[in-house]
Amino acid sequence: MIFNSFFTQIVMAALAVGIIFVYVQPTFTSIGLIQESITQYQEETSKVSEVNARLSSLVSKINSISASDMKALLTYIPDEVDEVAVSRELLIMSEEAGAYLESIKYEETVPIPAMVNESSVEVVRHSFSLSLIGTYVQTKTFLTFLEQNNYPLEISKMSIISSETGIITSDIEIITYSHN
Amino acid sequence: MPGSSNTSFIPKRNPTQKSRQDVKKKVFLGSFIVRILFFAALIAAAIVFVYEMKLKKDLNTEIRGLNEAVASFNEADMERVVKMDLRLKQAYERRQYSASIVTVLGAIEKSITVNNKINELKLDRVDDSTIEIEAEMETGTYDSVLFQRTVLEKGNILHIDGIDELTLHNVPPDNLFFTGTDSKIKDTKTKPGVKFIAKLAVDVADVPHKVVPVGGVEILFEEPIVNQESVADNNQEGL
Repeated sequence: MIFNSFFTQIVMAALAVGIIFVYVQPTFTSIGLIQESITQYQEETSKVSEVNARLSSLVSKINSISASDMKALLTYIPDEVDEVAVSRELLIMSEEAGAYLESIKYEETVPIPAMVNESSVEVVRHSFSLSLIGTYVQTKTFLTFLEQNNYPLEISKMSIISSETGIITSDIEIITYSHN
Repeated sequence: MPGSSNTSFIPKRNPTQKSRQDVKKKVFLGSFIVRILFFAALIAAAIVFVYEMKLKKDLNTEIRGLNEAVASFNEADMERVVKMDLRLKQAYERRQYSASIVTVLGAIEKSITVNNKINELKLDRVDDSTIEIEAEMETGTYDSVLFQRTVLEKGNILHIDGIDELTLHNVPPDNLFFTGTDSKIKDTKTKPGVKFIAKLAVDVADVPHKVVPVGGVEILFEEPIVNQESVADNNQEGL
């Protein structure tokens, strides 16, 4: 038999060792890497699927917001501030309060003060400077209207000077906000 | 001679037994191991090859799955959600730091004693959580100043940081020794007065803006939101 010859057995042994070291062992290493890749891909796929599911859930939540609530939110923090509309509303408020609005000036966007909390969400600030003349009650009514507005009209600075006649002059800096 | 072979003393050779001994193989342990090793290597190579092919197929399936998952990600939805989230955070934060200046004025009204008068009031919202106030006040005596300071120190909303620029504007006594013949001094100053600036601070958390329901988002200023008469009644002792 050919298998019995010494030479054949040497060749078989060499082939066996060769197969193990040249093919089996590197393939084992390759299998390990492929398994790791599969695990990694499975994890990433799982993460992407989670994100997709979460995104779908959030989109559903946004879609479930009522039109009136969405309108209120977009009014409260609009994309952009229309300075003409805001100035007009400030004038209407002063008239409703019975005070005399001497002047309004739009100061455009202003930087956020340095002392604002670090965790603050970035938001664009718009400043309006106005000068109001009226009685204390009228001025206070005007301030009440500012607070009851559908979007924030925050008083950043205010200076009130009273006169002997009971008329007070107020210089007010009002800040409102926009999303962009 | 029939049957003679059976009686011979010479043992007969069994032909089949001989041939069996002739073909008996000599198997060595080394060659046995070599054969096992060889076939084991072949089988291992085959198994490894097949398993690797299977894994590669699985990997391709996973890659396809990931690509499909990534492809199903909707960037427009994500952008919409991020924008909405930011807007909600902005609105929430502004609501959190909203302050009612009217409430601050109300607190000032309640804290000002009868003998004191505010000539000028400055409010400065230095940051989201603090409002600083400077009230330039005038009164007749130092006792009134002391009393006013005590009242301010006991305030819940207003926190006094100090009293600055304390100035006495006195009137000369009705005596020629002080007034002399110059009547101008007596004309200009009829009453003594003490002026000072009260420096106050308000924590925004103490004066949150309270939303008054006014019937939805459409309303603006169609009708008075605040009863002005009640405001007037509440503030008769104002500035």
